[in-house]
Amino acid sequence: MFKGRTLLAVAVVFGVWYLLAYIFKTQILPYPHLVFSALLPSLGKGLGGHFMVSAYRILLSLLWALILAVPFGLYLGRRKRIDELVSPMIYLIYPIPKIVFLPLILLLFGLGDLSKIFIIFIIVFFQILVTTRDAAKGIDEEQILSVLSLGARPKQIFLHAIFPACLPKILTSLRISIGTSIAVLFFVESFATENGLGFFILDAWSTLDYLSMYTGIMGMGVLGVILYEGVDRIERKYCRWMFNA
Amino acid sequence: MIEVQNLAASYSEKGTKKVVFESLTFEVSSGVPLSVIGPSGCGKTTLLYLLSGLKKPEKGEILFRGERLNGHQREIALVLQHYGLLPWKTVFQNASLGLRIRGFSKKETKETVLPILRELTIDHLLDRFPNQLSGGEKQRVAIARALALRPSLLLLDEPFSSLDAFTREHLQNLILNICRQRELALVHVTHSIEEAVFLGEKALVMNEGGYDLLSINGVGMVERNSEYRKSDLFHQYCNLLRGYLKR
Repeated sequence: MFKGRTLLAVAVVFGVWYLLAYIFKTQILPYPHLVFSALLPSLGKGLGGHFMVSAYRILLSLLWALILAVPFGLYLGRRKRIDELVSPMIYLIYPIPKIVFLPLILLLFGLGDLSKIFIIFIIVFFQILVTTRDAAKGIDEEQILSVLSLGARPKQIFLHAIFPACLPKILTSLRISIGTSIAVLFFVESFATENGLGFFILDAWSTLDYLSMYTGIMGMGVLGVILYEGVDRIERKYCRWMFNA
Repeated sequence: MIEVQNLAASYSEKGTKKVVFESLTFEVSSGVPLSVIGPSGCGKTTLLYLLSGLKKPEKGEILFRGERLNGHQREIALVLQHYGLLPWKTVFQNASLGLRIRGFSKKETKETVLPILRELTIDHLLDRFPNQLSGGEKQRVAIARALALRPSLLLLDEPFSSLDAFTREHLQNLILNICRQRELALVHVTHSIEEAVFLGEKALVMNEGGYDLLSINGVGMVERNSEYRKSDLFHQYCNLLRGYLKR
């Protein structure tokens, strides 16, 4: 999993962190080794559980966004007239910060997990939708003709040509969405909840327990790394052709 | 094998209908390859798409074995200009795609495709992706995919346009051998006069607003070799086509 370049990246991040901690010499920016030493106590305070709750919220949001945005995006990308009809609506809704709908979402879905998952979902849905639609629009028409000339039916055209052609861009949109979803996660876990990494970080901050706060932040980083690594693995397996040039 | 009667094609540009060709009538039979030649935009590729069933004629009709062609026909195989290989499929997967689409089992597909890949000397490239192949290799994979369907009519759209001279001549010989051995009818679109003369026994010269159908059957398919390319007859036919293209 960890190759030379990954180790180098980790070394650079921690190197900069050490340097900043050395320059500022403040409790609010502790040295990395102190944060590492606080990991075990943080796990005792339930960091692992908070991590799992956050992972669950993120995974479910991303999964729903993929399930709904990918087929819809592919459909719009291949149906010019319907796209011309739907696109203005997308462009109208896409730039609005979805957070402004928070009161409405809380009213509709309550204070539990569902409202948190929904708000992450609605934000990443549009990112995946627009990228997938554009990928489907940009497919080389000769590839479609090629499959058609072999007698393919619509389902086979989708399976052999459209979906594989769009997959690399879908995965790129997923990478972007992972970053966005973790940022939104922090926000949605800052209210009406007592679990999740966002809650853990804010709780530690409010009690001036900076070491615990940083273990929570590291938890978010680890969550991101696991998700990005997952996407990379999917790409290496299903987009093998891109790595063989 | 295939008869084209009063075929017409047009496209719409800024609300105006532009005629690509009209009243096109000819026939193609096995053992008499047809070369289609003409300037860009004269409708060569459109004609090929019509013959393959990818497009429906707006006027006129195409009869395949006496029956009106309506959509995809299993016995007609098309090799597209840029090979039409799918970048995410390996050589074997690309070559066997047509059979998989037609519901052949993995075993049947393998038994059909592997001998063809061997015949085209690309059986050592099975697991390679198109971006790992040379132009000539890609072209062979595209031909293998078409042959795997056991067609009786092979349509080639400028198949050798992006290949170097040596590979081009080699593949031209290969195509002639394949058509001869399998008794395939061949329709071949090209920009190259030499290629049209070498591969075709008949030539359809398409010009703006009209066409000419010429016989260029100086020698049989067996005698079409490097000597033929140097012969006076070959050059006479080239000049003949050149004359018709300049009209």
